[in-house]
Amino acid sequence: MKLRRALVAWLLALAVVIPMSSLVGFAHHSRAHYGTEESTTKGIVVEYKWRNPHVYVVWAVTDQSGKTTQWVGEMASLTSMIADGMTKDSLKMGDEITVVSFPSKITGSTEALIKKITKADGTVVVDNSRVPNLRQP
Amino acid sequence: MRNRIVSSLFALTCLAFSPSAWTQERGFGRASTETQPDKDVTPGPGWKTCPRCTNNKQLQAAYKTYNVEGHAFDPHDLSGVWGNNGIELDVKTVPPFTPLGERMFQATRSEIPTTNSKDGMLICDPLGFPRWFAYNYGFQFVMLPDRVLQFFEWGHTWRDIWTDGRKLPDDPPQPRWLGYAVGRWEGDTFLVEGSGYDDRSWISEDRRNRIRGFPHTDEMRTIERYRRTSYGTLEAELTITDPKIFTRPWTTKGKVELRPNAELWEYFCVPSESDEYNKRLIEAARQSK
Repeated sequence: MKLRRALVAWLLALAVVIPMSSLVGFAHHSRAHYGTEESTTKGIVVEYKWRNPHVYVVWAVTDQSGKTTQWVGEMASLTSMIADGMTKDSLKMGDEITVVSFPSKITGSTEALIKKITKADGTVVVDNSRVPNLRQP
Repeated sequence: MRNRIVSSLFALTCLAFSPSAWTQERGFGRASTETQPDKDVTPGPGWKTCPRCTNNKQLQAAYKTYNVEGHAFDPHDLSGVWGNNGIELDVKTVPPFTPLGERMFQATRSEIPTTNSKDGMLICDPLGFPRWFAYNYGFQFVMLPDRVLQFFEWGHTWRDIWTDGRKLPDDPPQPRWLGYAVGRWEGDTFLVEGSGYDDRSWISEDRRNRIRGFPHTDEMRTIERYRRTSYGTLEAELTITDPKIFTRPWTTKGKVELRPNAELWEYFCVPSESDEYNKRLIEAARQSK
């Protein structure tokens, strides 16, 4: 009985401690609208905005039918992205990239939260540590 | 025996998920990722990095280079660049609202679920104080004979904390976003009193669900206590009193770490940039309702 109570307490502590540990990298704009399903797409960089409040990249993805969709991928502030290894020169128009992201939950939206960007030559442009923010309530 | 095993599991679990366990020495925050550089990214030789431009590896290295651990210090000298994100208000101890406070709190509720559409920060209103205590991207104290200047990276602004013996104004001619502040030493604690705040600012965004903000009136008063407990550590405490909003004072305690090789960089909230961001993300969400 005591053991069961102690285990319940331990599980409760896990439920509290794990979400708390994910709050470290708070950004000032909510990311609640992004889903939790990971998506991987390949495309061409159309725009790279090295700007506050959040850096973003626009990339064009062409499906098998030839239809092209432009995705907008959000990252974090300039200074946060510098800490993660990005600079104003990390991406340029025409770069071929593979993007792992979390698309918006809003129907029809082509916004996504960036998790990882890799160039065609295998260079990892960013492996964004702010993804745990998705676990925010 | 079983209890001992369970207790050990509990302790190990807490330790494993505590931010301080992510780094070998100090708990600087985020875990390392594949692309985080080992060396500071600066504009060039002689230039320093910004508080938020560094990652765990770089901070660990800076602490070694500048011999922060065990370094001699004067507890009455708070000079330096501190922290990189402010001290989050303690939302576990939010006092009960008065009826007016409850109404004002509910009035801050966002019109859309994705981010707080009523947050003045989105249109570059000044954060005000004490929001700048809770959120600042790092701050710098500069000690002068008659005042202490506190600079904030977010918004690239500052406030004067007067130490020349003047009193807080009873009825200031103009409420200010950063209020009026006077400071004095009580032993090794630098005590700052503030009043005269513009009630358009929020105390802070409510980070429990990020769809409301904590309001205040122009009767809000603040007391901050700063104590340098080592060369690299500043303990900070903030008590907010606003009897029109809260039924009792609200206190937050925190700790900020010295950024030994940092200078505050430029983080302006630029209306044109924010406008573009809001159009893309907020207006899209509003339209999809």
